[in-house]
Amino acid sequence: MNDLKLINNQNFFLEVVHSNPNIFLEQFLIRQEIHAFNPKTVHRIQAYRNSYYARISNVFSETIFDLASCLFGSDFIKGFLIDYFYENPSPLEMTESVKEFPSFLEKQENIRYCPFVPDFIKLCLAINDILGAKNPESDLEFTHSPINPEKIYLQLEIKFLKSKWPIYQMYCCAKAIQDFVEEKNLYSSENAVEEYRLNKLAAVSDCSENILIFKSSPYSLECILVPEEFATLTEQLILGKNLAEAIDYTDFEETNFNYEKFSKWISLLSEKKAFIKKL
Amino acid sequence: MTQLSSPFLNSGNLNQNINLSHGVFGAGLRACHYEQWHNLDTLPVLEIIADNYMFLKGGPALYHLARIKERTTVVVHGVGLNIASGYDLDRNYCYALKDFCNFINPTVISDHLCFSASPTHNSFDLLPIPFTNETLNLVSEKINIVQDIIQKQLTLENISSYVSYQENSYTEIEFLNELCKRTGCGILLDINNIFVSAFNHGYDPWQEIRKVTASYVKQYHIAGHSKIEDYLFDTHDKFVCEEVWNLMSWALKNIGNRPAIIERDDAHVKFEDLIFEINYGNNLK
Repeated sequence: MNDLKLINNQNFFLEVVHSNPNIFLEQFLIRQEIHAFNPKTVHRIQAYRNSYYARISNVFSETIFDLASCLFGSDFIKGFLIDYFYENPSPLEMTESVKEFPSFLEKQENIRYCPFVPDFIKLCLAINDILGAKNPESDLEFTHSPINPEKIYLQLEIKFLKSKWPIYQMYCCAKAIQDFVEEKNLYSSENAVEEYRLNKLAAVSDCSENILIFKSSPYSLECILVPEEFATLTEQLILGKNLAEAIDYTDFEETNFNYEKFSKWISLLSEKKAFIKKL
Repeated sequence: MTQLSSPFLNSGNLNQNINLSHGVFGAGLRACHYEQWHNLDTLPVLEIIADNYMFLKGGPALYHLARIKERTTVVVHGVGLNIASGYDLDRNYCYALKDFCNFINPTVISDHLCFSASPTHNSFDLLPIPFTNETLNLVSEKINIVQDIIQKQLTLENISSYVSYQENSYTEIEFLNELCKRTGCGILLDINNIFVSAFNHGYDPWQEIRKVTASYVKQYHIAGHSKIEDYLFDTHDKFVCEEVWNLMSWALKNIGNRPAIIERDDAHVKFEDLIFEINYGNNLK
C-alpha cells in the first residue's frame, strides 16, 4: 500500500467512522476502498462507528459540559452533541472541536423550547477556558496597603458573559445538582436526581443576568453575578481599563446610585481576588 | 472467560492500601481520584494522559499533577500523536509533548501504533493500520522525527483492533519489533490488547506474545474487555479476566518487571477497585 493509497484508505475509514449511524453499513461495503480490509473482519468497522458517537457524546457531556448535563440531563446534551458532530467534522484538538457548539444550538429549530441552553453551553466553554488558562499571579495581589483605584485592574484571565437568561441562577442550580449527586452518590438513582433537578429549576426566576468567571487560585474557580447596573463598568474593566477609568467611563447617575450595593459588590470581587494591582 | 468478581474482591484485604511499595503495578491518573491519591501514604506508579494536561497553562488539573509527580514515578501516555497517519506529523503536538515531559520528567513516554485523524476529521479513536513494508518505512520516519523533537525515547503500544487488512505482511508484534530495531523506540506491551486482537483475528495470543523482543518492552498495560457479537471490545470498564492475568504473569517472568498500568476508564470506577487490582498484580506468582 503506497502513501497515496494509505491516505485514501484512511480517509475512507474516517468517513465511515463519522457517517450518520442511521446509514446502513452496506452502503460502504460496496465501495472500492473496502477491499483493503480482511473480508472476515470488515463488518466490524461498524464497531468504530458506534464507538465514535458514544465516545464524543460521553466524553464531552462528562467533562466540558458536565454542568450542562447536571442541569438539563446528560441524554439531552448527548443528543445535541451527536447532531453537532454529525454536521461538524472535528479538528484535531478536542476542545477546539466544540467551540462552535453554542452557535450550532442557536440555529436548531427545536431550541426554541429551551432557548437558554446555548448561553449555558457558552458558560461551560468559558469555565473550561478559564480553568486551563494561566493561574493568577500571587505577587500581583493586594496587601493591606491603601488602594489607588488607578492601579486596580481585573485579572488577565477572566471572562464576562452577558445573557438575557438567568445564567447565574442556572449556574448555581447546576452546581447544587452536581454536589447533590456527588454527596449522595446517586448516579444509580435517576429519579432522586430528577426530582432534585426539577425542584431546583422551579426556583429559578426569569431575568437577564451577567456573570464574571475567573480563578482565585490555581484550584479555585469563581463565578460572580454582575448586577445589570454594573455591566457597563465590568465591560470597561474587561477591555483593560483600570477601576478609576472604568467608573469615569460608566458615568453613573449619582442621584439613584446605590453606593452600598456597589461597595458590597466591589468587596466581593476583591475578596475573591478578581483584581490585581498594576505592575 | 473468568473475571475477577466482587466477592473475590472482598475476600482479601487487597483493596485498602498499596501493600507493596516496590511493586510494578500502577494506574492511570484520573481527575475523579486526585484526592484519594493525595490521601494515600504510598503511591504506585501513575500514568498521565498527556493530552489531558499538555495544552493547559494553569488550573486545578496541573496543580494536582504537580503535587503527585513529586511523590511517585510517573509515565506519560498520549492518544493524539497519530503516528501512522498518511498525512504529515503534527509537529506542534510533538513540541507541546516535549515541554510537558520536561515538566513532569516521566520514565516512559508512549503513544499508540495507529492512526486517529486526518487534517479535517478526528476519530478520537485508535484505528488500525496495515502492517506492510510501506507503513513500516512511514512510521519509522515519523518516530525518528518525534524522537528528534522530544529528545527522548518514544514507546509505542499495540492496540486492540476489530478489523484487519488483507495486505498485512507482519503481525503487530513483529511490526513493533522491527520499528524498535530501526529507530530505537520502545514497546508498551498491552497484554489485554494482545488477547483481544488475537481473539478478533483468530490467532494464538501466546504465540504472539512470545514474539516480542524483551529488551524493547518498556511498559505494560492491562485492562478488562467485553464480548460483543463475534468479537472482543477493549472497554477498560471491567476487572481484568483470568486469561489476561495469565499472559501478564508470563510477561513478568519472561520479559521482566516494567511499570504495569491498570487501565480503568469507566466514569464511575471505584478507587478501591483500582487499588485491589494494583495489589492483585503486585502479588502475582
